[in-house]
Amino acid sequence: MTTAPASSPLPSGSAKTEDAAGGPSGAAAQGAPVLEVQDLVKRYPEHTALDGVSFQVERGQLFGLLGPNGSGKTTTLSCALGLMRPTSGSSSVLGIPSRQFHRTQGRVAVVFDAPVLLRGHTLAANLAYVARLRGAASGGRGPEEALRLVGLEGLERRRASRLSLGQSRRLSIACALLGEPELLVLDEPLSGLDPVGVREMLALFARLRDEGITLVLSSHRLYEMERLLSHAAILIRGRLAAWGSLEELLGAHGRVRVETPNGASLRSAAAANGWRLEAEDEQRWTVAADGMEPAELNRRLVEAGVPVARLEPARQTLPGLFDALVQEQPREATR
Amino acid sequence: MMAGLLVVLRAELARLLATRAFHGALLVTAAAAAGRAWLAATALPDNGVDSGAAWHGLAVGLQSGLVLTGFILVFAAARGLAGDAQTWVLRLALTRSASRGGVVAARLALGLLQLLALALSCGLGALAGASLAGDFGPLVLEGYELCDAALAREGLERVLLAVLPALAALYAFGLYVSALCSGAVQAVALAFGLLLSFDLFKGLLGGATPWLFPTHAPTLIDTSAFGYAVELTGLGSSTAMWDEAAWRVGLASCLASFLLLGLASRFILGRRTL
Repeated sequence: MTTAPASSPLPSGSAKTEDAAGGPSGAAAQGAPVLEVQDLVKRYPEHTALDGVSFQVERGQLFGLLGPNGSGKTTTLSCALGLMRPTSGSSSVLGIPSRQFHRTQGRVAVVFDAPVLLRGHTLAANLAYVARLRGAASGGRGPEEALRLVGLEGLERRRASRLSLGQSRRLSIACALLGEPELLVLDEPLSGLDPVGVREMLALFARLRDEGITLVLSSHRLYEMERLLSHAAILIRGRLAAWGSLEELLGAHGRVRVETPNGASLRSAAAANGWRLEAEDEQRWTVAADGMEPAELNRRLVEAGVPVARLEPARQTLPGLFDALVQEQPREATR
Repeated sequence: MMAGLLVVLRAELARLLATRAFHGALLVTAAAAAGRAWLAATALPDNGVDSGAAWHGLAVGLQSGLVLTGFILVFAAARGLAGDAQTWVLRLALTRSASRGGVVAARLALGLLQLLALALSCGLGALAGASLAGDFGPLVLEGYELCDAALAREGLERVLLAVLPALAALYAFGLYVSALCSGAVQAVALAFGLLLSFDLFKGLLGGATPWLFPTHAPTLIDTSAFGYAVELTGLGSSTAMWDEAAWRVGLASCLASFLLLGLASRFILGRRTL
């Protein structure tokens, strides 16, 4: 796992140019990150919701904004979508500053963490309402296809107030699928869905990714996200704890699987060095030593007198990484 | 500044037209105006009016219908922004193609369209009710012609021109309160509370009253130009009762209030987390 301070500046490659009107030129907008937040801070009188959060989402990524409840995921998205003013810092979407979010002109679709519907209207009227709000953006996926993709076909004439929570969630997603969004932002898209619904939505998100749509999902459902995401940022208590590709984040760096006939010696070596141990049984262990290469860890084990029968890099799981990061807080954030 | 005005207006108009409550409001307004117009026109011959009773019915019907129209507009405006912010429906527009200025401008335009629709409904209702109970001829009291039909019609037209801008300002006031509040119930209660308080205490404001837009709006304690219309058509009062200067002050204060309250709503909404 690579590390970076929570308020680290973004790579120089993220710099973008603006035209005379203050907006991105066409070429710059093409090359700009699809979503970028930089040193985002949101302070309330009683607490700090975001503390110097910076990350980028590039075109084509299936990006997860992960973190426990209250970690700042929704606040980050609200700032990026221009719904909330940050105390400091900046953000942009499709190269357009978030304060001028309306200039994205229907190229971004958002599903909020609570279904946003016209409750007294039919499903067809809800879709028509959102389709009209897309304004100049026309063409692409129509209402029928959007409803079919989320499994609500045939319910066009039903009133939204008569939908279950899961169905309401599906309708919100259908509204977001209208047209040809380049970026789909989904805040807790799986909450309220039954296991079948979760499976179907994960398959839908994977399909949309394959179609070239960039997806940003905010969620705390780590097991599902691990199977889906290409990149992730993990927020803990308003700070960026980790950010990168899943490959980077869950790589073997600092984690090895060790087989030894002498578990007691391994336990004492771990205690002496501050390593974390997870036991599969008395002979097979996973050793987590932050930032340490497997070869170095092997040398230290041998030096400590641990008879190593077998040692191999161990891949981290997203929940495991998450637990480790939570335990590390308030240590310096990592990337 | 007003990006997405037409987009939001189109979407909101379609939403409004698909709302049963709006159809109900049109019907209730028309029915109230028709009922009051019929009752007023029917009662007039008992007071010695031989002809032209329908003019009085029309004036009373319009007065009642437009009081209702004012209530409906304030309710719709106050509930609109606050309710949509509360249920996050506002976010649908803001994350598609509209700026906050565009959203407020679209709501103001929607309010004007609602006002026209309700006024039309009210006018048609009053016209129907008055026609059923009387005629639109010259106003004749015990054989004497008090005013001719043209004068009565002109008087009513003047009154409508004085009152409609006040109703528009009333809508903008509802929108302003809506932008201030975090929930629909709170916004509706506050808007009606403030207007009712103004109605109750406007007598204490003395010379400032004509400069305040609610003075010119038809309300339960009506001090709008409809008082003149009812007098003119019911008693054949002289057109000299019409105060041109007061009308100009009212028109100016209503139009200025409409614009200022619209700008204030935009300002407040621009600073809110939505």
